[in-house]
Amino acid sequence: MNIDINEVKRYLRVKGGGYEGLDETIRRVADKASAELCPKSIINKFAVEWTEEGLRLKGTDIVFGGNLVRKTFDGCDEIYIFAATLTLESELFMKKQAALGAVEGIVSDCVLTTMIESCCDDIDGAIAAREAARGRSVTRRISCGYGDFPLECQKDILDILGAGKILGVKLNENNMMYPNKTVTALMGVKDMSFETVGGGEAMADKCSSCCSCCEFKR
Amino acid sequence: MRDFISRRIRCGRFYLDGGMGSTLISMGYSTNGAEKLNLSSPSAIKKIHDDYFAAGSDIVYTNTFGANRLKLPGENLRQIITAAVKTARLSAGDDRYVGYSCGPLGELLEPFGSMTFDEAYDCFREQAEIVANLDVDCVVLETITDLKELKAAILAFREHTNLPVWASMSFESNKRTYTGVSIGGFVLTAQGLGVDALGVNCGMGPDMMYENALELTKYASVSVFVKPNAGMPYFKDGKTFYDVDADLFAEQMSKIADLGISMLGGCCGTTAEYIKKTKEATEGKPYRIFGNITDAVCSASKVVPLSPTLVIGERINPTGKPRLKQALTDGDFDYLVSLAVEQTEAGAQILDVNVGMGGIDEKECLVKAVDAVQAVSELPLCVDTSRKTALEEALRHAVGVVIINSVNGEEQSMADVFPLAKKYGAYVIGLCLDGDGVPETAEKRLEIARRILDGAEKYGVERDKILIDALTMAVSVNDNNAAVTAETVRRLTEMGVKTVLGLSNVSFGLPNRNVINGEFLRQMIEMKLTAAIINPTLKPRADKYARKALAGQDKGCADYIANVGGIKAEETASKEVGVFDAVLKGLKGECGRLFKEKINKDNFMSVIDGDIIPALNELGRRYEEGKAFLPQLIAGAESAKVLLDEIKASYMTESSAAKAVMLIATVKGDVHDIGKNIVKAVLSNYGYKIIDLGKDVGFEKIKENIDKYKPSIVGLSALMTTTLDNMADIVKKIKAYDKNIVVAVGGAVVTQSFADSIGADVYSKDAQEAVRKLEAVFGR
Repeated sequence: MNIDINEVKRYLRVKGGGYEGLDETIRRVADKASAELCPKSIINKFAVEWTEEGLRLKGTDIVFGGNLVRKTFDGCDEIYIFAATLTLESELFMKKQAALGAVEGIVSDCVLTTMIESCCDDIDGAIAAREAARGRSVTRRISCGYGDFPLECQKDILDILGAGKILGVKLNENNMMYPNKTVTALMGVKDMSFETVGGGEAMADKCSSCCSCCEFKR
Repeated sequence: MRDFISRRIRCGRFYLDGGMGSTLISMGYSTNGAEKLNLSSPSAIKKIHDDYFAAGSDIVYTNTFGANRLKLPGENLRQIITAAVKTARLSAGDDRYVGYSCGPLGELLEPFGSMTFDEAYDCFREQAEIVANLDVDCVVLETITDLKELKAAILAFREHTNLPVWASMSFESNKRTYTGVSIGGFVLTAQGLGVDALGVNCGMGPDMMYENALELTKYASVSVFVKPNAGMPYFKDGKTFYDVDADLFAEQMSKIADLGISMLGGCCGTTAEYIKKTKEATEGKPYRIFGNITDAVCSASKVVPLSPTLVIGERINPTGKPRLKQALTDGDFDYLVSLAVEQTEAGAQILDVNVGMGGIDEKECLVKAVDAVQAVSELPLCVDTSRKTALEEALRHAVGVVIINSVNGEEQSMADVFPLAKKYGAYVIGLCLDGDGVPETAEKRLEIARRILDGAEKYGVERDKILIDALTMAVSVNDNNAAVTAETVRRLTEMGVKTVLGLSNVSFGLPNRNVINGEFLRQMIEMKLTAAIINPTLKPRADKYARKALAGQDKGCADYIANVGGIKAEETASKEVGVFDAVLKGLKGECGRLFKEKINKDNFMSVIDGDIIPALNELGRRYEEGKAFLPQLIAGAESAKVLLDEIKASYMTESSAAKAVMLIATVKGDVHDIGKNIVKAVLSNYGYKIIDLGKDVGFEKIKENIDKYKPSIVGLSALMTTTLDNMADIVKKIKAYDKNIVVAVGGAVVTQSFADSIGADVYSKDAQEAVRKLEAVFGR
């Protein structure tokens, strides 16, 4: 898996080129992570309908409410839901790296964040390409915790995907996922005639909808 | 009347049942608490069993997959399990078999989750005590993904029932479970613990499971079973479907049967039709009795064959290591963990774990050490203790097939150690000594070795599981010591006995120990020594003076000392970095040497005040000016910590109290802890005792630790905007609980005005500002 060193540096809050030896440390950790970890994902597509409470997955009682969902999935009649994880082995990987040294620890955390985001971008792109072939377009992906999309929806998402059994992802009482390097996301599908930003939306655009004080902002 | 099941499964093909939960769903039931149907709808459960027997199953599993106290809280487990067995037996009659199904507990064990091994064991024990008196033929542990959990289950059922135990895990297509367990690690561990059959189930269809089944047959020495899903599940119109039908399933199972695997069944999505068609497709095929002998130790993920010459890392041993002693006394396992990882990276193949020292509870400490090492290293362990109780507890907790270090030639020692080796499937190091001490001749050491090998057999431990330690004595004490050791190793090897040496002891009292150790290692590799317990950075080398000394041809090692002793060690020859620069540049690797060379009992305070703290301050200044970056700040803080820990262990007394105790946590709802970890690393060098509560921490945990540690400061961090409310809530509660505690807050989305609005005392934008602001209050 190709890991973008500049993305890792962004998570490390290193601006400019950094300093001598940093790229080498990142590359070393990234190579190890690529060799030892295998991202896993599960993707499913659902027919959806709008109800007063929000967007409902047809045939189920699962409803996603809130403004972000309403705004993002306006005009959609299907959504993709996916979960991607670097598996429990990523937790051991980070523990091992942190035991080697605090720098390795923090670098590995940022490398794995880059890795799982990159994995999501790949899924994002593959879904967009598949739908484009059907003459349909996709929305940007959103996740629980974004805007007013409540973290409480995380349980329904993991359950409907069978992510607990298939990926080994657990949710704690505060709706935090474990392994930590796990992402769930929703992407809407609609006819091309609806105004859309297209799949694989530019990173800068993803950041533009978020708060202005974030130090990771591009 | 049915035959004893362990005999029956070795005498012909044996068909298992198919899915229970997925069949219940197709009948309109929920699988949430499906075990309660044993009481409310036994006829539905019986119908499922009847259908499987009618299709040709030789055994059905009880509907008890989740019948444990965690999945069925508050339910009467005895009633549920008893009803389940009764229903299955009613269906099976006297001629067919009933297996007690036991699935995973549904909670992650340490280090992934918070459940301890003992808690898991207790949940399984509760089931075992109920099942022990019921009419079942075997216990089937299935769909487990964590080897530690499987071990707890195997031990619980073997210790509380007389039933045969079958063990099955769920693997991915990469031949690992999602906790990283390899098929080899699973098979060797489970067989070592005495299971009667083992298998793979769930997670995938038979096509994908073929490779996993093949891998299983490479290690198995007991009967093997395979229970795949009906392919992969998919969701349509609110229902779950599987993508492999009964015909395709049978066709693919036929290929698995061709591997010689005799026990076949199905898991999720399979029905009686799948079993019927599988039986029709495979019934006449020949099968094999697997009898692999794998001479290897293992961890959950790694199998290490015992072939010459393995490196057993020796560094986790407090003898002569004040810093490790101090860490163990403090209950701090971070340093021990770093030794484990460093040795793993340096090429060790097995890690020795020894925490034997005064002033600690060795049993408790050894178990914690074993757990801590296995959380970060995939290497198998060598459990090193002379205390029987500590040994047994460590063997229970250690995952994989381990080596016990050690037994000796005394009867009592063998009576203590060998039964444990037998029960836990461990290898054993046998020391060539007895009550009369260490014999001076090779012949007498061989006599003791023979006594140990015979003793092992008496207790049911195969001779192949013994590694004889010929004992390494210092050549500086007696010129002939190394020659006697080498002769003993040579003769043991000729006898086909495995050998091991704690090799570094040969150089005790001599200068430049790596030279003579390296020569001795080279000679022992040539002699096919099975394993050397050494510092894994030691490399074999040739040196004529060392060779003479080892051969007993250099009286008093005089030539060696004269010719080798004067050479400055390579590793220290070219480096001249001072303490200030080592901290400023984050040269952690230099700090151990600097401590030895530059710091002593007379100057340590001046080094702290004149070098370490000024270097940290300078680094902090550069960071704030944007001239240094975060990883550099961390590297500097860590280098300082190495020096300060060494100083503390060697020169400081208990009265060198911390400036202040600080609890630090990332608040509830947030798992982003990088910033919190940086603050911790930096502040700990300024004399604060930091108690790290981790991430996703609510007020209750903080309150518990306020009561325990009586901190002066609580530091809280948050990265997500969605968790700022939690931070506000926690600050409010801390202030209400103890208004004198200084609450410091920070994190990517926290600002000074937000901190003011929630009543926090200190806001800092980064670690360096935290130091400055806290020093203004607590500095001295």
